Amino acid sequence: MVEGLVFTASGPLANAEVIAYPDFTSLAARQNGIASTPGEKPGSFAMNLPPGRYFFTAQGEAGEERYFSYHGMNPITIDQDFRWLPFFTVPDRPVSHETGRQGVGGQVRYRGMPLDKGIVSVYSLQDKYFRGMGLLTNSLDADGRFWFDLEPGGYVIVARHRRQGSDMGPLKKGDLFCYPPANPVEVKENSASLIDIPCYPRDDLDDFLVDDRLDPRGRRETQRRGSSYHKKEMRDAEGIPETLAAGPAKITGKVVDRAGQPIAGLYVTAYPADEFPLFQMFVLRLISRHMATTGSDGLFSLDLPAGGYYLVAREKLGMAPERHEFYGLYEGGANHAVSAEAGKTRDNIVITVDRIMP
Amino acid sequence: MTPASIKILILLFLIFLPLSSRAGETLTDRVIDADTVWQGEILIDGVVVVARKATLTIAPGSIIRFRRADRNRDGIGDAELRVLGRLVAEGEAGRPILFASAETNPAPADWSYVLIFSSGQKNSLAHCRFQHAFSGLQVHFSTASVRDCVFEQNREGMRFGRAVLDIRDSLFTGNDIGVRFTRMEGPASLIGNRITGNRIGVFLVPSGQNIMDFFEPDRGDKVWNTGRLTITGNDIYNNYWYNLNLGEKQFWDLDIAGNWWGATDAAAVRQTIFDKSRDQALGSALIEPMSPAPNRPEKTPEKTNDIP
Repeated sequence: MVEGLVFTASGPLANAEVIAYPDFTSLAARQNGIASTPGEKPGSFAMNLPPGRYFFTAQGEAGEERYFSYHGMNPITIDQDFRWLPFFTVPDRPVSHETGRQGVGGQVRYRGMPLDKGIVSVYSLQDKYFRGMGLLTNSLDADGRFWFDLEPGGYVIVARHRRQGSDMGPLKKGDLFCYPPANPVEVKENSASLIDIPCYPRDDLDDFLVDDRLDPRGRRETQRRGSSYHKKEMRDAEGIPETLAAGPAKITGKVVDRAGQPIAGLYVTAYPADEFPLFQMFVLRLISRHMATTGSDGLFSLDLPAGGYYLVAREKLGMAPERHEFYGLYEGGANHAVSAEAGKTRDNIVITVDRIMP
Repeated sequence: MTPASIKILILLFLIFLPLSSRAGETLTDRVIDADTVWQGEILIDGVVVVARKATLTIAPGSIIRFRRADRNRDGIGDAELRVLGRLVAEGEAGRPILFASAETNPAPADWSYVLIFSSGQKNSLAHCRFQHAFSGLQVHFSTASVRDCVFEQNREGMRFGRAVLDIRDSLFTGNDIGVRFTRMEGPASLIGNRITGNRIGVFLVPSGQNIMDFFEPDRGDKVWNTGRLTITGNDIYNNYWYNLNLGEKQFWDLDIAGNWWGATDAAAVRQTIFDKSRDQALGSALIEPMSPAPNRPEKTPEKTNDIP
């Protein structure tokens, strides 16, 4: 038996529906889900589920607004024991697509206010858990904005804000988990997909409920706990931060196997080399926003700011290299680095890949 | 056979003959991009990369020395042999291959390591000796076999992570850490080795690099190292801090049965292991049944003063 409560920031969400999906593919398609039945109190629900792992969502309407929640513990293992699951829902807003630079951008907010720090990650739909650094991870700018250049396709976007400490490690009570209801987000050719990402705090109902709202325990909060977030005016997402504009340099080349045959469909990622003049493995775990994919002829082209870059070609991104995956470093020098000059194209770069760990 | 066909045969022979480095040659930063054989003495002063298309074969009795230089000032010598292609370093009993510092007064971390990284081929090392490196040998995202090797006076004897790796009949002694497994993924086997005289004999650390929010690892009903690390039939004793140390965030129980720990009393052996018994946040090392006597007394000599 699974029971719980579903909240908006204004209190319990009456007539909310919780759905358990057997996998994320089903969740993305909104198919094969098992729906809850309403409980006795507003916002409460109950459901009987066979033992297994599920992706849980909650949804409902209040006034003119639709609300949605993706549980941060997903996938959750359900066994024979009783399980209590609370859900914090956020406004369900669609993605807007605008002709222009291809990728995903937007703004991350909590309680309507832009976050002034935090990280946002992009995950492949094949990712099982949407944790870690994903395909790409960027820091939010001071207005909570972000941008990723991405190839057309579907992606899951998740932002996180930790009140203390580094950008790594498990979220703690009060840290913000930000999963846009529009996930998975579709990137279209020559189009910007713009989203607003609302957040909720892990395990902290007091902080989630807005001032002077009655919580289900009958308490009226008038003194909110201190918040580290800037109280800025709400602003609509309006384009891409200037600092993320494409740089003036270009690197082009080809990815081949050991026999010299071109390999299509690989990711080529450029990692900044100027800060780390000697190649070390940890460099490949750093964040890079400079990525391209190889065409059927194995060719790739990277637009990036002038500078030195370590180049890697591989089948997958965001995780450590996997057995039998195509993988290769640039081998034009012992340091694996390529220097790209402003206003110029560094061409004829060849990266040889192999299926690793035979 | 006509003179013309003989010329063609000679030409083909020369084309496909692996390149050979001369004894005493000094190699600075470079990429080896064709099959190459090293024999005699080679001095490395920088980073030498074996490209993905190349095989580097090192002949028995060869001596590979690394000159100390610390360009990034991290306290570790930069000189390194980095293998993206294939390494065949198969010495022989009595004719080992030596990887060592070129300094007059050598010290641990004079040079970085022999690194096998993201290789797409099967690498083989036998009867090799590694001295005064940061790590004698590191293997990551690669497949390798290590037999009858000696790792001594290094900061770490061996370090490896996700790798298809088989380490047998080797000696790890006089290192700060004998064997360091950094990701607990493998699949790696550590069988029939002698690990003694290090500060820490075996150090097991999970990756943790992708552990973020709401992380709840799928532990199943098996001990954590099942399918990731087989560690049995080894003699792990007289390491002066711990014979076995579970690193931070190594929360899960590990099967470490079938090893000799220098004693038959399990309580005494546990005094040499850092696990849940000393830190409740860690998993337990399941060491029983233990070997009642050394597994390989005839193998892997402790004295290594016969190194050239």
